[in-house]
Amino acid sequence: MSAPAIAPQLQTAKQTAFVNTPVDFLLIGGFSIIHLALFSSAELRAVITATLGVLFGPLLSIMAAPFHDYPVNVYDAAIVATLLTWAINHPHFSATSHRLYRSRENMMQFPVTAIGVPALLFVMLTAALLMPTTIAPWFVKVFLIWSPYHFSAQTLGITMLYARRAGFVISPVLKRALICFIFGTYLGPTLAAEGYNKLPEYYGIALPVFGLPDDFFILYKTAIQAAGLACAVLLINAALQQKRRLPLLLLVPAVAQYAWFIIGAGMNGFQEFVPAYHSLQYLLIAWAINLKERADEGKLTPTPKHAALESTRWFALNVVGGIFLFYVLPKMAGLQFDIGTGAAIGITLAAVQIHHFFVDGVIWKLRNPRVSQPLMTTWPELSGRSKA
Amino acid sequence: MNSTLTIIDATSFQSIAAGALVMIGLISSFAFILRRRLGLRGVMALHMLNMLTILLTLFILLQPKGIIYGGISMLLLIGMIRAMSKFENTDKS
Repeated sequence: MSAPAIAPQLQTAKQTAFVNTPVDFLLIGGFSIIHLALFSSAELRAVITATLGVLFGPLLSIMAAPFHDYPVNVYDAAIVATLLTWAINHPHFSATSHRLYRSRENMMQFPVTAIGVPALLFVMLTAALLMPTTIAPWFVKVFLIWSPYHFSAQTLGITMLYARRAGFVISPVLKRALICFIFGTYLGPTLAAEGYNKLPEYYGIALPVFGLPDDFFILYKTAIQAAGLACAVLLINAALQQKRRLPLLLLVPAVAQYAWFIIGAGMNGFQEFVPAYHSLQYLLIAWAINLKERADEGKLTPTPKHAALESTRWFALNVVGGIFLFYVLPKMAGLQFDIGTGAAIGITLAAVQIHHFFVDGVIWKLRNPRVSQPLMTTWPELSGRSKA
Repeated sequence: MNSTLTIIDATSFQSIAAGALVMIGLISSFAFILRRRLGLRGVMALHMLNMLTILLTLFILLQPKGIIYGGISMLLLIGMIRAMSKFENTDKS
């Protein structure tokens, strides 16, 4: 989801949260903040891991059996994260494609994104599969550097969306400070990872590094914290000027992103879940807009039954779409090209995700009224429980 | 930390460079042929796809490393990703 700018005179929502404050808080980053807070203490982490192991270990071992050769009663964050991908991460990719490709009219709004980008990516994917040691590493590298940028753009986009919903005016200076902070959390670790002391791999593909100095991270971190401080001051100032309380939901995505990329970076048992947390943010908003658009297209009076049925249909469709994108496609690539299953999966996943970055960049522009109007909806409206 | 450009082996260089040129040529041809149907926004988007192809090809062919070449490459890559946020942008068409 990319970052739009907002203007004070634009339409706002009846309530800041899509569902309600606690649910929105958890889905747009609260889960990850709580997860990190619990796991930041080694003692607490050991207790939680042991408890989860006792409670869910056997179940997880059974569920993970097709994927891993693990002993029974093992709780492993990597297994949980892997299993979550099928329910959260992959459907989020599918939701983007569904939004663009579900009608010819939608596709023709962005013909280059809908047709040109997949065509180019297909050629690049084929070239990477044909030359897995020369083209593939750079193709995957472009994806891996783009991915956290995409996370950051979504974080900024959701922050601006909640500001818009709350009718909280973000001045250009404040927006700039937010950009510095949010994208700083991307840029710092990304540049720091380009040193020679790391030999990154992705599904067995050895990746090149740009060979940048390793010791700049402290500098990046200080700059990010300074930007965070500037954001805090400007937000308080904006709240005082607008004579209103600062909507707390507005802060959650940026704080969560700081947790993902700075505090929790490299923390085992947490970092595996970051893509799922990013996807959860996305699914909340994609779900709400899909419900709203479906109700509007069918000229339906919203009811709890319609909302429940449409939500189930949409989610099931995206789970299936996720299976196609992340299981069927890589499997087909692996069968066609004799380069090893791991490499074929890695390269195909890179292509699928780069396509997602393109699509996501065009379908969520708040300046576009076709996007912004449905994004001002609320769960009470979607379920017909709204007091007119 | 030396800055280096390591040109890949001649055979791979030829096929990758030729493939990239064909790709760039095709995208440019589409941009020209479809200019009326796509409008400025679509033509610009095709140019951006060309930029992506060129940058990726340069990385593959030259394998930049070190503070100068690696730094410039990183700047170009992040700049290109940043520019992609304007891809088929509906804000100003």
